[in-house]
Amino acid sequence: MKKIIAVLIPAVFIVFFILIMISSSYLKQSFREDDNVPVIIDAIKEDVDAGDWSEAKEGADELETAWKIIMGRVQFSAARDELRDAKTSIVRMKAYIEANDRAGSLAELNEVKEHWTYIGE
Amino acid sequence: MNEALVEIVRALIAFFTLLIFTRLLGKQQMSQLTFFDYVLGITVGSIAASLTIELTYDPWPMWLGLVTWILAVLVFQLVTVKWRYASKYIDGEATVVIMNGMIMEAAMKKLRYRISDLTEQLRDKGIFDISQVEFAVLEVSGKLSVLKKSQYQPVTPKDMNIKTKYSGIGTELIYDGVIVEKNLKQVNHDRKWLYKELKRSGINDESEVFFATLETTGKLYVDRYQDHIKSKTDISDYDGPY
Repeated sequence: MKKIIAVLIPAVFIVFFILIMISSSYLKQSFREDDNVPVIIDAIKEDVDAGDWSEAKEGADELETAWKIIMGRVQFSAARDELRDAKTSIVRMKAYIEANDRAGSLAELNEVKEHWTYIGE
Repeated sequence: MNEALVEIVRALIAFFTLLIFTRLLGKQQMSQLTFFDYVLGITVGSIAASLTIELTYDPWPMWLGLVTWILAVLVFQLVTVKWRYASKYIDGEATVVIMNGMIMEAAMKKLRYRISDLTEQLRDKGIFDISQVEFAVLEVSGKLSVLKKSQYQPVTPKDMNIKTKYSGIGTELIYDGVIVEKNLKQVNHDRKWLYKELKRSGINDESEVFFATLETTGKLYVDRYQDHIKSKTDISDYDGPY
């Protein structure tokens, strides 16, 4: 029994570490209403395409909140730069939306989506 | 994102991973490490450090790199244990640098081992006169093993035909004021016997004892917490505080 426990404890530790480190691809998914990053991005894209800038602005705020939630969840398993770059893109996207700049907004939105996709890959 | 918290979690992962895997690698002592083992230790330590503080990278690939290095060592260890040729090929072989009192210059040249290295390692062994050496072998670990000429070897009781008593390893019976029951049983004694022996030394309870061992001669060595030393020997040559 002692031998089993002696082997089991380090094995449990290692499995736990692996789970922490590979959890980001699972934890970046949506678990509640306000953290679905790809869906929010698509909604903002539609608003930007339609020229509905006030809706797009609201969407951008939602995206910022969603990204904060995701960052909190994946911070132990994802690269810091990936998370920070996405945050910077969101901030830039908000500025483009404020300036009613369609091309800039779409470019930043695509970049955020790309960062989201890279997490856990 | 709390960077300090992330670093703490990553540090704990690296720390316990190293602890678990180095335990798996075994008990090879630092003094027995080959140069490759030494470099390997530095590399593994460096990856573990990166895993802790390089937050710009995903931890998972770095952890995999760390584990791959450690597993590679484990595989090499297993191969060298099972296959003697591989062991020689990977770790190299001990080389005789002094044979029958003569320095093997060719072997030393091959190893890029200087005469100053040899004399230094001999001095380290307490040998200042090279003519006292019959054989000297440079081990794989870089240490020098020396066999002195028979006329320079210390006299042993056997040489003098003196009978000696068996001396083996003592058994710990009390450690930090607590009786080690398992060891007491192993030497076929009980608490009653131990208390009797302690009483003989003027000790009433095991809690007064810091360390006690039963020597193979049957003598009980006891060290108390209170040492009652009247004049202490001070080996320091500098007045503190430091």
